[in-house]
Amino acid sequence: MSSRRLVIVLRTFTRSHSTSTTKITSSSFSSSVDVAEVSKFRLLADRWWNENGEFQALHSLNQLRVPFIREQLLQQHPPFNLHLSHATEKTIQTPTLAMSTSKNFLEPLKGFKLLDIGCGGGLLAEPLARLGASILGIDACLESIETAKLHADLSLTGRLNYKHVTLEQLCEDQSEHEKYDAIIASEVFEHINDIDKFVENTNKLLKSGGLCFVTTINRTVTSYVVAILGAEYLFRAVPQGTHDWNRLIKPVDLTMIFEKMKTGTA
Amino acid sequence: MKMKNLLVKRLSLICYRSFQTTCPTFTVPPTITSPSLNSITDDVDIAIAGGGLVGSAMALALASSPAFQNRKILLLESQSKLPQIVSKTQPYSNRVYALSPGTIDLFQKLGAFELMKSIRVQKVAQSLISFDQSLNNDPLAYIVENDVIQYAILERLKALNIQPLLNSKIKQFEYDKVNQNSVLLHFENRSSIRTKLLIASDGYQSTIRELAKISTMKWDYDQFGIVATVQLADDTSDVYKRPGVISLTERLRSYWHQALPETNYTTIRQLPPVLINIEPNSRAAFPLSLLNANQYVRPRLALIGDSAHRIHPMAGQGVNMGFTDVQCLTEILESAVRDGADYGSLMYLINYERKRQSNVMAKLISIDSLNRLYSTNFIPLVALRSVGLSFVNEFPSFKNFFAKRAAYDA
Repeated sequence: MSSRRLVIVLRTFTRSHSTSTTKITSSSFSSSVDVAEVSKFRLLADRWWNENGEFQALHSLNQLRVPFIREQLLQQHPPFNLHLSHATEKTIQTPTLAMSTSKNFLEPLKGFKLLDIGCGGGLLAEPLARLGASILGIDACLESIETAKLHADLSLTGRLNYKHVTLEQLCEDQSEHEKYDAIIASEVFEHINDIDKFVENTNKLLKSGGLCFVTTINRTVTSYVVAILGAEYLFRAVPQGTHDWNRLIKPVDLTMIFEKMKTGTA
Repeated sequence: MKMKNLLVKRLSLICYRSFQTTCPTFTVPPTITSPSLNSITDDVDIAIAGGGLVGSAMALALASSPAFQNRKILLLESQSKLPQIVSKTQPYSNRVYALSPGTIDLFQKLGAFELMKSIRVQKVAQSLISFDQSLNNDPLAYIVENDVIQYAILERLKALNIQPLLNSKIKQFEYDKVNQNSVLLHFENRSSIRTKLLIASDGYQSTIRELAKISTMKWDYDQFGIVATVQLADDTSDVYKRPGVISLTERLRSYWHQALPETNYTTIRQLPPVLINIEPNSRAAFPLSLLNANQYVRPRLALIGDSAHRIHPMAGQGVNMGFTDVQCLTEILESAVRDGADYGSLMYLINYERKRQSNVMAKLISIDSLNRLYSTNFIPLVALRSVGLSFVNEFPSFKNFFAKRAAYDA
C-alpha cells in the first residue's frame, strides 16, 4: 500500500512496577512540544469545527479512525456485559438483556478510559465520548482546549474532559499512571520533537496490555507532493508550514521506537 | 485503496459545496419576523417536514431504528388533517401507488405492510409484468391506495408514540448562531423549534428547498397524467386501475403483449382490457414534469422524496424512489451514530447524496428518454424501438436484468 497515512496500533507490554516510579527531574523545559508549533495552531483554534475549513481532512478522517479505534478496542476487551450475560444467562430476564444490548449498541465503548493526546478542538474525542468512552483530551494549546470545551455537548458532561497540559506534565501526576485502556495520538507525531520521550511517557500512563493508537503522515515522496506541495501550496487547503516533511515518520521507524521501549523496560 | 478513493471523492464534493454556499445563513427581510417574537417551544433531535407518505415513512424508519431509540423525532405536517381510519368497504380511491418489492421489504421490516394487507392491497397481476418463467417466484409488486399506506404508517408511528404535529407550516429556517449544532425552524403561527437535523419531504414544490436556495433541474412535459377508477369487463371483482398516462400505458401494454411468451397464457386475457364503467368523480388530471435538485444535502438538511426529485409516472417509480431515499438516509444516519459522529454533519449526509443522486439521475434520464422514444412518430425511431424491444425479448438475460432493475432498484 502506498499509504500517505500510516495507522499503527501498538500493544504495549507489561512493565515491572519498579520502572513506574522513575522520577522525572526536569519538568518545564523537557517538554516534547515545540513552542512554535503551538502558536501556529493558536491561529487556527476557533476554526476547528468548520467542516469545510482547514480541518476538513481531519473531520473526514474520523470516518476511518473512529471505526478503527472502536473495533480494535472491542476486540481487545469484549463488552463487559457480554461476559455477564453469559455467566448469568438463565437468571437475567429477557427485558433487561434486551436493554443492555441496546445500550451496548449505542455506547459500545462504555467503561473504557481513553487519553487523547493533542486533542485539538476535540474532533476525535467527542465522537469517542459519544460512543460511551470516558475520555480525557489534552493539548498544549489553550485555545484548542477552550474551543473543545465550548463545543462539547452537554449530554457528554462527565465522560468528556479536557485539560490544558502537556504529556510531560500529566506524567508528573502519579495518579494518572497506568490509568488508561488506550492512548490516542492522532495526527500529532508530525508535530513533536522527541518521539522517544513521547513514547516513553505514553507507556507510563497506559494500563498493562493497553493500546496505543498512532495515526500520522508517512514520510514518502507521495506525502511530500500531496500533503505539503498539494495541500499547503497548490490548493491552500491548510496553511503553509502546517507540516514539515523532515519531521514526518515512517512506520518502520515508529515501530522500532516502540520495540526499543519494550526491550528497554521489560 | 478503495477507502482512499472514496475519501478523495467525498472531499471534492464537499469542496464544491463550500464553494457554492459561502454563507450558510438564510437571511429574511427583518420586517417579516424578528427572532424575539419567536420563542423556542421545542428542542428535538430530528424534524421531518412534510407528513406525506415519504415523510411519515422516514419518521417510522428512524423511530424503529435502534440507533435513534432515545432521540426525539418530530413529524411536521402543514395540513390540518391526515387520513383517518380507512375501511375495507369504502370506494376505491383514485390515488394509488404501485409499491415495488424493495418498498414492500421496507414496510415489512417496519411492520406496516401487514396492516396494509389487512385493509386492502392488490397484487400486481403477474402475467402483466413478468418477463419470464424463471422470475415467477420473485417477490411481487403491490398496488396500494395512498390513504391505506398513510394510515398504516401513522398507526405504526402511534404505537411508537409519535404523533404528527399538524398545521405547522414552516416559514423560514436558519442556522442557530448560539448553538452551532442546530437549525431553528420558524412556523407561520410564530412558534419555533430547534432541531439537530431537518429532513425535508414537503413535496415537489418544496418550501424548504427554496429557502435553502437549492437550485433544480426541471422541465415540464406537455402531458397530463390522468387517473380514474374504472371497472374492467373481464374481471369485475378487482375494480382497480393504476394511474398513468392512458395513451402511454396503452402503448406500453401493447409492448408487454409483444414481450410476453405465448406459453405463459393459461387463460386468454385481452390486452388492453375493456373498460365498462368509470366511477363518477374519480377522474383527475395532473401536469407531468421532471425535477431534480442539484443538491440533496446541506449541513443539517436533507431532501427526500419529491422535494429532491420528481419523475415521469410512466414506470410507476416516483414514490418507490422516495422510499429508497428513506432506506438510504436511515442507513447513513445509523452509520453516523455508530461512529459517534454528529449525524447532522455534512460529512455523513454527503454519502446519502452521493449514493442517491447518481441512481436517481440514471433513472430520470432513462425514463425521460423512454418517454421521448414513445412520444415520437418519426418512422425510423419507431422502427428502431420495435427492433430494440424484440431484441430484448429474445435474450432472457437482458429481460432478467431489466426486470430486476424495475423491481428493486428504485
